[in-house]
Amino acid sequence: MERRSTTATIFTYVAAIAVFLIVLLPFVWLVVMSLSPAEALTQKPLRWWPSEMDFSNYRQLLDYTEGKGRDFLSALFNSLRVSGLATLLALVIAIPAAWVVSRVKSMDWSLSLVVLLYMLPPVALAVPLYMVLARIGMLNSVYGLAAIYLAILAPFTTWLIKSGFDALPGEIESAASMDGARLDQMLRLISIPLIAPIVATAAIFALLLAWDEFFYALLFTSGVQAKTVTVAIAEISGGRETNYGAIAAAGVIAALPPVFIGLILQKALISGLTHGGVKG
Amino acid sequence: MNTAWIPRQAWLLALPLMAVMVTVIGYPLFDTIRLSLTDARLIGSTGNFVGLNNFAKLVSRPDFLQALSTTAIFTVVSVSAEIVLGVLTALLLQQRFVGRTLLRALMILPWALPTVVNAMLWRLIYNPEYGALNAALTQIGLLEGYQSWLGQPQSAIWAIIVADVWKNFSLVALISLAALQAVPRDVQAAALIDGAGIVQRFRYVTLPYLAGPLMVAVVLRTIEAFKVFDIVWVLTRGGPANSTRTLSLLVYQEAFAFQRAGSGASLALIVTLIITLLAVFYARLVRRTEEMK
Amino acid sequence: MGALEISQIRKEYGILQVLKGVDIALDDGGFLVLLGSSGCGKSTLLSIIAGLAEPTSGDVLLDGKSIVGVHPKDRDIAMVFQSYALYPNLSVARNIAFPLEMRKVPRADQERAVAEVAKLLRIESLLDRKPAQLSGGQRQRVAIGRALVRKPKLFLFDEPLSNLDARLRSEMRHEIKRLHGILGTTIVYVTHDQVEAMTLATQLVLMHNGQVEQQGSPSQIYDRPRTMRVADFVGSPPMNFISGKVSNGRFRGETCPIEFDYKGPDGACEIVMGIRPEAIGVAISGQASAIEIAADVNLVELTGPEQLISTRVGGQELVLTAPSGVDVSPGQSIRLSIAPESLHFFEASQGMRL
Ligand SMILES: Nc1ncnc2c1ncn2[C@@H]1O[C@H](COP(=O)(O)OP(=O)(O)OP(=O)(O)O)[C@@H](O)[C@H]1O
Ligand SMILES: [Mg+2]
Repeated sequence: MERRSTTATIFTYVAAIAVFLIVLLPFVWLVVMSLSPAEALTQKPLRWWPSEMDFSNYRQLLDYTEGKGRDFLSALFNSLRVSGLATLLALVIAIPAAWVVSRVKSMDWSLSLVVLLYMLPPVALAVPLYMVLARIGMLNSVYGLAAIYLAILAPFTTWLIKSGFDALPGEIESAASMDGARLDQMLRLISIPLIAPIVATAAIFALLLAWDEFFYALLFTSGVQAKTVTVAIAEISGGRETNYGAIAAAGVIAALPPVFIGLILQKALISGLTHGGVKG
Repeated sequence: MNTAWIPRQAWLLALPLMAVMVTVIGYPLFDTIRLSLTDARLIGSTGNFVGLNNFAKLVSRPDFLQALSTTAIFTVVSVSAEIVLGVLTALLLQQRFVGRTLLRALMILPWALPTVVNAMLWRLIYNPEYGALNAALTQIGLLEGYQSWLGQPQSAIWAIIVADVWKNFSLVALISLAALQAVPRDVQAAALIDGAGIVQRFRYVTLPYLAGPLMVAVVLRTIEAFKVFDIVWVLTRGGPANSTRTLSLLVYQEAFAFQRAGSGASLALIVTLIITLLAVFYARLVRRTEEMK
Repeated sequence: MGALEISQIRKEYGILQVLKGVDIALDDGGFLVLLGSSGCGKSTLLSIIAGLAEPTSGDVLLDGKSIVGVHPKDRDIAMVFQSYALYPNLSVARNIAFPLEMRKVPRADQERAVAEVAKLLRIESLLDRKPAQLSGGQRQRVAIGRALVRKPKLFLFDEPLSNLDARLRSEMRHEIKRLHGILGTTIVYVTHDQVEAMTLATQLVLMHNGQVEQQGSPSQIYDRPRTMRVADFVGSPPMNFISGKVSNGRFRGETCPIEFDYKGPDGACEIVMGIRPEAIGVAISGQASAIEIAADVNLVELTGPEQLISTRVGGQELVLTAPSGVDVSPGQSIRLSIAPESLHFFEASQGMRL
């Protein structure tokens, strides 16, 4: 398009390198720490690069037979269960709701209400939720936490999936209904398959969001049977662990799934971000 | 659109969602309002009705006012920084340079990193004795002696803001970049042919496309920032000397650490009210930006 | 098996009246074409027949039985949509079989029916493809196939050819005519295109602004338009209109020096005379009983087999068509001849035929 002057080119490259370093250096450092032996990280002056790679931090964290490993692995497993369960249920209730809200004009208000409720700060709900969970014995339970995550994930997956249904030409569904499809057949055979990419995007967002959640998890889980990985990381970094390498390794492991997903599904995620956002 | 074929009972499909929202959000919200009017404790006493006492006491409490100002500073500074850096980065990523595709791909990394891991990472970087920041700054001679970044009231909040901005400016950059890519090529070309300067081009060609998505990003980020809990919790737990205690942390302390459920609930409602006002204000602003188009 | 009767159909969206009491009758096996300008309510009427929209009031009878309130799937009506509305995620074969699948027709019968329809529409080789892998004309055939396979009482087509190029359009037009000949099913067909309307219809309905202007066979509509609007809409290039007065049995043009003995029906004295471009000839002297007028040629456009000649007669423009052999050029003065029996007369205030 436009021809650039040399100064502009130099400036562009300087800025690009700066952004590159700013984004990447903390990551690199996290990984370097996780691979450093404990002594290397407590030397002065700091050793920026370990003389040899040390995988013992990972080995310890991933060793189920030892206390540290068991704690961490079960936290990972809990996170997986909570986010998986909540995401699955959220999709199950969000898809039909999204369809109705998209097709029936008189349902418009309900989505605004749902979105409004979604903006509420968690602190506004935490105390009663705690009391209820305590009363029904669901504190420190994967299912109790998943139920709460469900309420966080469902509105925004509905929102995202609705934008998918909105974009679906109405004539296709009219045709299906004339062809004799019942509503459930139409959704199952035609409408939902056609918006599968958006459903997948919504599912990934839901998984990332649930994996990331900390506040409710901190309040409602404490024991090995329900504590999620975010709570575990906060505990580890909050003083339970003095080996910085081990802390870093736990962070790397917890970050791997979302970072991996982020890199692979970048296109879908960004279109989801702009979709959900702009449509607002 | 023609909808006569949609069965009348179709609204039932939204029922599960409504049910979940009512039980997990509607009921607790309602109960928080009830609790805020009592002196209930988290465990044990269900409390007595005390009217608006909780609110009256709260607004004059110095810790509330301090938390309010801490939250406001955190929100304003980090959101503005994220927006400015995000847009600048997006503009940079629009330019042509070797490695652009790679850099664009990397931008998703900070966003994808879980907030708690991000906080933990920065906690390690800020470590007063062995942290990378101290080491780096002293080794290149910018710093005389090691600092306790998170241990001093003057610097702690800024350290938290830096960590937050690092994670979230990438989101703004990604949204802005997507918006910039929606500017039609021929419009850009036409403006260039018409002799528009770089500033004019930004103002009249780029900005109209950027404004909408950016506005949404501002709204989302502001509301998120105002609710901030996790990054502060992991980095400082509100310390030192409560200098980084945000409103959410204060509610947590009040309701859970001190188990004052009634007072905690009323504080939570104040936070909710502020966020609602922010949302309403922004909704207006968003509508106006859209009208401008 | 598919006589259609539409009586007093009204449709309102809030205060917007889209249909204002539409009456249409169509015999079994008829081919009815709905013609009208954009936004006049053609698609709305079709949706009401299909059951995709409910009328505000009025009745639709199929074979004498009211179908208002009956679910679209139970009406025994099939529709071909303008956008084709094929199911993008299903193969062509499954698209065509879909109505049968939904009606729990045994698999073997489904396959037989699909094969039969595919043969009829000459799309046997496309059955395994997805709609995205088809050309516009092929998609059109699949959409028709999906409608055919059910053997419904009534077919609805909403501008089915409007997304095709000119050549494909005429090809598909013949195809549809051929199918109607073979199947004999009643068809209601919406179009903007006059050639489609004239060639396909056994009954033509001209709609305007939510009302029926005229229903009749194509030749009735063309030869005896009931209103100026119909006369103007049907025919290309459109009919020429000349306003004038009748007094003492003579018609006098208002803006052009045209004058002849008025032999049309009595009634108003302010009237509009209509003359189709092909009814105006370049004068060959000696033709008895022809009205002759002098005209200046403005523009000559060759369309291929014929030429469009725009002329000026006084303050009035007259367009005529002439065989391409006739040698005229702009600026030339010529004489036009008009056969009195080809004139149409409308009263000026309402535009109704006299
Ligand atoms: N769901 C609706 N709500 C409000 N108005 C509508 C609705 N559907 C159609 N209309 C209006 O009804 C009128 C008739 O629309 P319709 O689609 O029937 O026109 P049409 O004759 O098919 O036009 P076209 O030739 O452009 O397809 C239009 O003015 C349209 O704006
Ligand atoms: Mg139409």
